[in-house]
Amino acid sequence: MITKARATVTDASVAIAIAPAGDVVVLDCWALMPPDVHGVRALKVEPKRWWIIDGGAAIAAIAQRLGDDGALTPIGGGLLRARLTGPGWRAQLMIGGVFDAEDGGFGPGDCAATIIHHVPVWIDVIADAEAHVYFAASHRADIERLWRLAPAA
Amino acid sequence: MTGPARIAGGPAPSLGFSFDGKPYRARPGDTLAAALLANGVNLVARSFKYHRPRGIMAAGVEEPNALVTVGEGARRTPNTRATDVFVYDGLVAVSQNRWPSLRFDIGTLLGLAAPVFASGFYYKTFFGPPKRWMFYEKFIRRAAGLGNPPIEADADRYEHRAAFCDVLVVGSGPAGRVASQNAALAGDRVILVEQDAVPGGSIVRDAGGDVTAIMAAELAALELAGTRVLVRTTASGIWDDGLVTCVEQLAEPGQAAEIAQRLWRIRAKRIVLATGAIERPLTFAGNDRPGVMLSQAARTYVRRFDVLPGCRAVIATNNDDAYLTAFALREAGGTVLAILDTRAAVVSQVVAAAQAYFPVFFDVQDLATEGGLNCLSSVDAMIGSTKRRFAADLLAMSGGFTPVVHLHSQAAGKLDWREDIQAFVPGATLQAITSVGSAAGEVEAIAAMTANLGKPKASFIDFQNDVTAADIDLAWQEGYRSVEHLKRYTTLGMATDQGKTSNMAALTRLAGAAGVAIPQAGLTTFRPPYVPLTLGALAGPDGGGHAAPTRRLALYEHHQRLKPIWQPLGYWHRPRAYPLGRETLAEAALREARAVRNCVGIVDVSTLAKFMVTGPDASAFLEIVCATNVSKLAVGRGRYTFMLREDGMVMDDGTVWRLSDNRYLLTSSTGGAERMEAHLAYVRQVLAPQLRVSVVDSQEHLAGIALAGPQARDVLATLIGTEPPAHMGASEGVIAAVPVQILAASYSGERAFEIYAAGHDAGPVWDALEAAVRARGGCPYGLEALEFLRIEKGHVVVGGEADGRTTAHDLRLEKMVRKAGGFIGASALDRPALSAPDRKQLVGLESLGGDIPEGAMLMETWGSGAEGHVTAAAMRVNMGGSIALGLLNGGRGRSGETLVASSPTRGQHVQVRVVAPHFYDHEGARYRD
Repeated sequence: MITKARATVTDASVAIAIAPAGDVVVLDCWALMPPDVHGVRALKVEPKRWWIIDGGAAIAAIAQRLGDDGALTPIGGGLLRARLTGPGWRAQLMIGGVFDAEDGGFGPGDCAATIIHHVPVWIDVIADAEAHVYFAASHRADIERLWRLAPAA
Repeated sequence: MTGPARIAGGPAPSLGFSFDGKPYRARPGDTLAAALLANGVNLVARSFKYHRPRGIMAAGVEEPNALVTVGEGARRTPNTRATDVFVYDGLVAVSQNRWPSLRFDIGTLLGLAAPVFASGFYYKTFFGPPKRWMFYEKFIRRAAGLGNPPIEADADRYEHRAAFCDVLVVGSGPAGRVASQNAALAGDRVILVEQDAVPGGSIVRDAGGDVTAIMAAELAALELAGTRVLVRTTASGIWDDGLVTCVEQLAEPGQAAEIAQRLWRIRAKRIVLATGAIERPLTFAGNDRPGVMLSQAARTYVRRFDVLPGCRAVIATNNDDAYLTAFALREAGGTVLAILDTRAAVVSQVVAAAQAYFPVFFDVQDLATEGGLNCLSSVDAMIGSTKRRFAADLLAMSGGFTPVVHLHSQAAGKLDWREDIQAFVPGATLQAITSVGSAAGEVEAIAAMTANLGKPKASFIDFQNDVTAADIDLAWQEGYRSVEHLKRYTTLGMATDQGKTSNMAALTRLAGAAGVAIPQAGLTTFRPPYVPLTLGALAGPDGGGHAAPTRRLALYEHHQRLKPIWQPLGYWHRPRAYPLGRETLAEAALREARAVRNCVGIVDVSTLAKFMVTGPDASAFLEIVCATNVSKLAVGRGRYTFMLREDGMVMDDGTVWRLSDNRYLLTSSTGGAERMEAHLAYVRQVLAPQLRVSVVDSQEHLAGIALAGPQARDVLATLIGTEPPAHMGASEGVIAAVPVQILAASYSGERAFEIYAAGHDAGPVWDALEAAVRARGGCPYGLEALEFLRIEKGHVVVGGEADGRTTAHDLRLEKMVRKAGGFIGASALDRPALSAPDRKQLVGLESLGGDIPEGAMLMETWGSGAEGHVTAAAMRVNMGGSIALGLLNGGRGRSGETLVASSPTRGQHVQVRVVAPHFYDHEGARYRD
């Protein structure tokens, strides 16, 4: 091993699981106020755009409330969701990244649209020790290689 | 006893390594240079040009002489500084630039001809006639370079990593540690980087004892205070807005590790440069021999590595700092024969102390050395008017100190001249950068160097490139006045050390020749990287690839089962053809295309750009984007469309489908997907923010499969259990229990359907379609067959015929343009130049001879001027014969003309006839029921 006074980066552990994102629906809203989506996770990805995560049966109700003030469009068919659990998720996202995921101000409830190793990603902070990363399914092999994960079956 | 050796006592060396095949032992923490000296090895390298024997001159990254190749096979790393690699068990190092051996090097003969190889030798010798260059080249190439790079692919892994901080401190010496502590106390996020494996900077050199443990404890305290400490990490470049690139060595050269190197991209609000100073050599005859070493380096080997670099030492200096080396050598058991000070008598505490122990001589001039291959034998000096000889095996020299201003200068910081230290120091900065400690000029004052040299041809200034004082004098005499010209004429300051030890001596010599002060002599530009980087570190995890993402189709595994020829298309990789047996690409593509023409086939069209446009104003939005009629589209119907840039040129094309009252699906080309997404966002957010419309990129949400051929309708009807939509109709269905969107559109010219399913669910749909198609004698087809089919049909492709310079009129699409206007690019179409008759216009081409070469120039006769070019060529699918599409000046009016399609690069020249750009089913009867 290299001779060092001490290890340079003491990254904490992180577990990563990648799977199809499943039920993700874009909510675009051109009204001043977004519709009430209480009970359903809504990820703000642009000033007037949210992603409804795992909306399920609630989507129909949201659509009804939305009326002509917005539109709902499913996108989950081409998205993957990487679940990063463990205190090391922040350091993990600095590999090949350009966004300051290690900033303590970036916490649960926050979302960042950024790139990791050329791949557009959306980071959804779930908890202090958990974040979800969404990215297009076509980039799976690159991300798996970057994160040194076993290739998907 | 003579020469370098390990100081008695201390732990036994526990690591084994080899140099030029000979086994040696080293202690953990030894650099290769320290370990070689500890084993009595002084001869380490041969110089670049004259193959002079060279030893170890420095103890850090500035080392110009001791370049070796470390590692074997795919991990062989040439031109590694022996002073910047730490020994690990099994390290293999070999000397370089010598044959057949380091001790007996035939290249030494070049040294005998040194007077011939003066500045500008190549420029003066290897000129004309041009054809002789091919002869010269063999010899120049053989002589050029030092170590050989590995032939095998890099076996190591590399990583890129980002970090952000309020304060980045570069260097962990005393000044750097204070800066780090202060910043941490102020509550800042701090990163401290140190290029050495052991933090501490000059403390490690001067303190001795168990300083490593003390420094480690200090750093631990810093880390507890929240500072991120990166050791063995070199800040190699500063860029805009506080971006600093640093390379962290996680393994030594040649050493296997999970990750070899990590390239950090650190974004800092404020940067503190505590990068220290580099000691300069003195210029005198024989200053490059093994056994001649920088004074602080000698001290480092004694204090840090327990290595005595020589038993009988002479110190040559123009400053007080070197006196400390005399004490260190003495404490280690060495004998200091003399301290030769170029200054007139000096009164200082350290000098006075030294005079009690060592012979100290002032006003020393005209130094010279004698010695053999592996050692120094004597040092000569003029002391006053008396020439004295000292039987020394070590000469520790100090010509002063050059603050490391590289990073400051890379950030466009100014430099100020300091007469007392004869060096440049950091001046005004454009970024939030501060230099502290030695880097800011807190170094020993020196006496100005003299230009009087006894033997300038043997007095080396740039050790790495064998540039002597005489070379600089000659360059000046030959008219090279600018320091930048001097650098390129003499090779001064080039190669791996970038003049770290030579620049100031060279400037002094140049200024002396010019009769100006050193600042007036100029300064070369400091550019990244500060130290050599591996290409692997720059490439990062992309090593071995093409440094770009590889996008895989949702149906990748399904294609892979069929062993296709993959075709990169932008970032995407798509099947080009599915060869059977020993089929060539052309044979496979023709078979697949014929299956479509005569039976049925399927092709993956998932990469097409797809946008879901939804909202009460969706139609109005599309009328702005599309140059064709959209608003009158009935629900369940679609049509071909194209989009223009604001200058009226065709930007992209595709289809638009009305899926419900307020929901449309717009498709466009694969290659233009990102451009179209940006364009649509621009229209929605900037041009028409008032519209109530949502535009969602659905490229990957919907995987697409095109089913095409005379039997396509029957295949689909069987699968969905109902009548498929008519041409340009849309419907929904279920295939293999997966909901699908069916769009009846044809790119091939046959009855065809695009079938879309959610990407993650598309596999069963492909399987069902493939089975049904194969049952009818059809097959999957790839891009090559798709190209054959579309060329024969005369469909334009974005990037081919729609190349960004063509209008709808050029592409014969003008009848589809919406007369009412109101779309982007409409006003530009009024410009007469855009419909001028002599513009390059789409034509078809039929061969009158062999195959038409793609990209060929079109000319009236062979050798006349080019009037256009072939955009795409193919075989007629069923009839045989070569056809092509092209863009030809005034092409719409030139049907029947005979031209030459000429490709000089391929040596192909084919006569072609200009025809209409449709070779198949001009009326479109085949895709209508």
